[in-house]
Amino acid sequence: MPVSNRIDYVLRDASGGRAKTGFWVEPGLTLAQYQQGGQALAQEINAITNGVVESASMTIPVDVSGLTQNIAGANSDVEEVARFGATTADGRPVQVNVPGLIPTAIAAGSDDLNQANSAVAAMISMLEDGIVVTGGTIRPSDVGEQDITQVLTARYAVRPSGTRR
Amino acid sequence: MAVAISVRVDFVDGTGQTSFTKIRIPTGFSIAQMVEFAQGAAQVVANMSDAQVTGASITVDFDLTGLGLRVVANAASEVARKAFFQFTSTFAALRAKFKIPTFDEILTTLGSDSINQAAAPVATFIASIENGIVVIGGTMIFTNNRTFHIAALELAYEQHSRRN
Repeated sequence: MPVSNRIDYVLRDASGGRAKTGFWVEPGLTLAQYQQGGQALAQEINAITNGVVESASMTIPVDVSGLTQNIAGANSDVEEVARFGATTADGRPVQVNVPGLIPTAIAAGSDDLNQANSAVAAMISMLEDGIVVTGGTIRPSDVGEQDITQVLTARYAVRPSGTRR
Repeated sequence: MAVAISVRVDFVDGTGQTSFTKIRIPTGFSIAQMVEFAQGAAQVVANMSDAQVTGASITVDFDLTGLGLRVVANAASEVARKAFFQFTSTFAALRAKFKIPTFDEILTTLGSDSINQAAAPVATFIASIENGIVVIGGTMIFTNNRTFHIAALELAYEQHSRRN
């Protein structure tokens, strides 16, 4: 069964408290159309509230039912992560973590990842060169849209229990 | 400065614990292109993880500048004071429910917790949810979480709740 896109708004009150509200919308429009609709709804929410509509975002679900090699191993653990440290053209750092790292990706005798491992190599290639999509190539970036240019470090790390990423 | 779009891939491990990977990508691509990227990235990270990918999503920030929105919260505003709206959908058994924080209490009907549906901003909001919002080249239609179109307002009242 398909799932709708969701537009979320964060509102803030006079004491600095924040809360979120969300609305499901039918898929099929362009980003520009959703932006226009989302802005109009923000104004209507502003009119029936007395807090500040602080931010708005839309979340689009992605169908991953076609993935292969996608079964959780009995000993898999999301607290064991692959940690990739990369840089952009401006020299800004970017970190990307992958939880549940496969043990065979770790270089023997160290906490570095084995960059000859095909899965690790593919991850580095994706971060540095992007993924070819219909009509172009999308390259990962930092929060300011600066493309990642080089992966500097690829290491195994353990995250303390209770943390999410 | 524009903010990059977030692509998130969710995992679950053999003990049921969850986590996720976040990769940012630049703006300027269509939804279809971003979905292609997300699916490709999900496979790449699935290949190097012993956990299972359970889902993926793309999050796009909207620009709210220049809309004339309030920038200072009213002294009486409170996120726990919410407007609760419940709508029917085109699938009879399913509803759509919304809670809007910092609801302006002046928009309730005097002597009750009911929301005054005749008040102009409330009427506009309800009409938008029921009929959609017209945008250039189309209409943004509101649904429940399973894409069934919202049909009509069923309930509207003020509610105090700390939870979102």
